[in-house]
Amino acid sequence: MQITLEVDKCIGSGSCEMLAPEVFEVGEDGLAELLDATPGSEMESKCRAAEESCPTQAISVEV
Amino acid sequence: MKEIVVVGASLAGLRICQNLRRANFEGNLTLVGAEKHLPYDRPPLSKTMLSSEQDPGELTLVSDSELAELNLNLILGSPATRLDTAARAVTVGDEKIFYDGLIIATGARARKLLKTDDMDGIHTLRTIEDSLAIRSALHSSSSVVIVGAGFIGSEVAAAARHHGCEVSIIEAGGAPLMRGLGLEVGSACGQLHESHGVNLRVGVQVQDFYGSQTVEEVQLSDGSRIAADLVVVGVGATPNTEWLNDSGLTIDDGVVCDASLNAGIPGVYAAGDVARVPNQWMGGGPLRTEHWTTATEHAALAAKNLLQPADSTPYDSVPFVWSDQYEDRIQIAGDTGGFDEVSFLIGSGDEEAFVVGYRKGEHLAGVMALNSMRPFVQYRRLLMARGQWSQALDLAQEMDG
Repeated sequence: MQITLEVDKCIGSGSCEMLAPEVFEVGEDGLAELLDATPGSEMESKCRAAEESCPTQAISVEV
Repeated sequence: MKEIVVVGASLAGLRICQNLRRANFEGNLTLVGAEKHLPYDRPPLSKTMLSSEQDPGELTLVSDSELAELNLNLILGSPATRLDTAARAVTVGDEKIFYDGLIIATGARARKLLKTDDMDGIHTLRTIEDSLAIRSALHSSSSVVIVGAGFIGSEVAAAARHHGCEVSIIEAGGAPLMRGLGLEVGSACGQLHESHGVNLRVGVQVQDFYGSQTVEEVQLSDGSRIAADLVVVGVGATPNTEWLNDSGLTIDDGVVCDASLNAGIPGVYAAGDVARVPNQWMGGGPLRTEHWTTATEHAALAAKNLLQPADSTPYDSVPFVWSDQYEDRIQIAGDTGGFDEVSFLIGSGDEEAFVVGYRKGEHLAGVMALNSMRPFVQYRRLLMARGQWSQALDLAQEMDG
């Protein structure tokens, strides 16, 4: 699975970190960072939820 | 289940369709929308759309290729006008669309003030057309009056200052966002406006509008008048339920649902701004929530529970909403109404960044943050874990240090 994060769209809502803290973290600068850009398939539902919950559509998940 | 109809083609409606297809629903899927546009994102309508020349096409929430994959019977520009739950049919134009499963996501519309339809220059903000009309008016206006210091009013005020307009905000309550955040924190939000040169008038109401064809002056309840060539009214929204009046569903400030989003009849669910649903995290009775995040969460849950009613999951989420005003970002999570104590966890009300905590009993009930994304996320996670107030204080010390 490939996770893409467009940081310039990020508003630091933290929705992604709430849903998939193994993959996303909002850093000190208030913007999301990818902790793991290629997580295993067991993370798919969490990453999908993060993708859909991002208020600025900054996350995309490709399986 | 062979036929599912989703009524309402905004964020919730689209997300419902995406979730149904991802859950391998292969039957006919109809999406009905009153607006002519493909599902689009509304938060930018009062933010980047007004402060820049953003192309509204950028707000579309679904690409052409994804839309093709969803394989929808897509009916846009035509509202549903009636629901017959006995015949299991939705009327759209002259057509009746029959369903095995129905999800209602018709959203809400901006509340208007009396008489405002009779005069030019008075706007509400809910749609792409509204946003474009206000943007165009901002280019030619010098005096802007905003009615209501909620999120929409506050964001439009910021955009109007960005365009160099004189701006007044008329707020009936004692401070901006007071109902949601309390007087002290609302007043801190009011300072954002005043520091940007906005004339913030609290505790007064609009009594009348004057002008020949176009608005020229706004009369307030304290007798004063303010010149205005553009008025934007942001006084809340009304759920779009009129088409359901004779459906037999319980309508009371929205479609009243149980915690699974079921509207009282098997196979009929509601989601998003139109749904009044108990939120397990909040406790208590059904609530109507007009947050972006709520729409996406409802959509995922309604799709799942419609397909697997025997395995229904209740709605259980920490409410979250954000607002961009000037260069500042306000974020709110949890329950910030009906608190026992409100106090600044990080910073103070006259600083450019702070975090406020709302205590209910021994628990942290809610958080409001200004320009504090990283701490906010920490507190949002603490709310999700139903954290204690003492943990909220500890977290503040950790982050201060």
